[in-house]
Amino acid sequence: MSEMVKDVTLDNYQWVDKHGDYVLTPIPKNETKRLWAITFVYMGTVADVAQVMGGGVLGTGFGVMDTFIVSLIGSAILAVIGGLLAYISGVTRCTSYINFRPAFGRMGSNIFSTLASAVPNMGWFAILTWQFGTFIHALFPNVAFCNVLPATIWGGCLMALTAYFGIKGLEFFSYLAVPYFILLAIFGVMIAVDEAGSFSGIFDLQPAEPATYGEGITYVVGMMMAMCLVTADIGRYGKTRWSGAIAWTLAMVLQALILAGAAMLMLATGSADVPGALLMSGVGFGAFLMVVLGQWSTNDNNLYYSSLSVGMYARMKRKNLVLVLGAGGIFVAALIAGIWGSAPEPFEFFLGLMGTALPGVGGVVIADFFIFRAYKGEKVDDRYQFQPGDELPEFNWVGWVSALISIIVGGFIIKSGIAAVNTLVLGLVLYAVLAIICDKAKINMYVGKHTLTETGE
Amino acid sequence: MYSKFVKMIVIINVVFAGIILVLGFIPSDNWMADATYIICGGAQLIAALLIPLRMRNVPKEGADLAVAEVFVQSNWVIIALGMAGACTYLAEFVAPNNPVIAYVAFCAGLATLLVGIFSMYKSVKMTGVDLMI
Repeated sequence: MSEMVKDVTLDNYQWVDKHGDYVLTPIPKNETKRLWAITFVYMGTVADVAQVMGGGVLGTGFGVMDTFIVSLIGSAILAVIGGLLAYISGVTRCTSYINFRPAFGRMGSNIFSTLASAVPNMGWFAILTWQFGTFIHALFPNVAFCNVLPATIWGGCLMALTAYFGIKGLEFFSYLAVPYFILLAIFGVMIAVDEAGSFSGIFDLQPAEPATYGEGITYVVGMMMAMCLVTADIGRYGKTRWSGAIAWTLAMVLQALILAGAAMLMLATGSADVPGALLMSGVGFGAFLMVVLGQWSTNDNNLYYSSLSVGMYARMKRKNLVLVLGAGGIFVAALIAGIWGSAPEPFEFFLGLMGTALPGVGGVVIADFFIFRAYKGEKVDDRYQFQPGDELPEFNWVGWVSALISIIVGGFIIKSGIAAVNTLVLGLVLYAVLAIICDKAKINMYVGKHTLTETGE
Repeated sequence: MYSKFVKMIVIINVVFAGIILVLGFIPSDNWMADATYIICGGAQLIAALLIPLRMRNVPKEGADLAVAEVFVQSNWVIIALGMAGACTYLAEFVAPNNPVIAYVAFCAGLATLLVGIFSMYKSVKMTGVDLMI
């Protein structure tokens, strides 16, 4: 037992970290990290080729000014949602999935964390790994080791490696990737200005088939929504309760810049394939480095979040879980590489689905922490302060009903507005109203009971 | 002892950043080369100069480790900029009319990267600092 106990200095820390990386327990204060480190890890999730390609796609539907507006609004929405969820983790110092427990119940949180994090993040891991293979093949078409399938496999193995080492592995790659991506965004703008002839010239460039603001904002929100819902997984390491929220907001500023830079490059060169456009523009080895660092610094995060999510119920060390999930993700990526080659359809379909369906889950959690707990008169510092021996509900039916209705109605029935925002607001409002009505009418929201052990199980 | 080492590394980094920055002000027929040198050199200079500024807030007791923590964090950014520069300065789109300028910039970027890695190694050896803070 003593081997499992981390060296903690908190006098009142009563938890035992059985699975490693505090999957089921709060982070002890002496393990928290500076704002700088958390900001870099969040920015590492934003600094990836999918974002750059997403910016390129925006450039096919919007002019430069409209791209700025769409990117800023989309990133602001993500900053608010992710910031609120990261703030919750600043108070609890627990993963997203532990924070889901009050709103969905213990069993409910296992199921919703699988749906909202493990499945989409594993999907992202597989898709970005496959994408990595296609980019490497495009950059080095005549090298056997760089064909789509082998590049997918060795790329996935490298990405799993840093996820294996947890937050320190993620931090390492983010430190390398983030400054480089900021430079690349600037290079994109420079190349666009050069192609357009002048800085004012790029503002005259217009897409052939303009898109609506709603479509653009949904696209921007959809690109990061899976990551946005699990900001607590990194935000829990913050030294203050605001650390995660501030760091995530800064990362969203970087996202808006990357999207705008990539869109400008697309408008100027006419190619939505931004790494290819950079290569054509003579960036050379820099384009290769962008693919490697970008995919790596983002995809290790995806695998890390998945391992934390599945770690809620898998009786396995988190590091071993990374290996198992990583092998599964690489297998799926290899299948995609074998079946689709380098077609973009699965990528686009996946983005659309995530963007519309998932925000309802975040809305429910935000409503429970910020509205329902406030209504109950709990002080912010007292909310979600779990201790061994506490009794948790197995299911919170109000959370389930609110999330499912919001996903169906907001994501698939309401056709106007921004689907992601519709879903989120519906989940938030439904939960707040239903929970308060249940409380006033003395209707029990909770089903079943579970007593927390010192390992957080 | 360690603080002196950090100051020496900061001076070296400032010199490399200064070289790249000066290259940006040498007139060239490729404005993108000039802009790249000014942006990279400027960013490197700011990152290097932030180290002594951030060190001012370090408390006296346990100073070496606290200084190392500040230094390591900033040094990651300098390493990344050095690496990005070394991978970019010889690229076609930032090629100035005089190739010597590109090679000098490349050498300064590579040297920044190598000095950064070396100073990380020395920091761990001298203070036992964790590289991921």
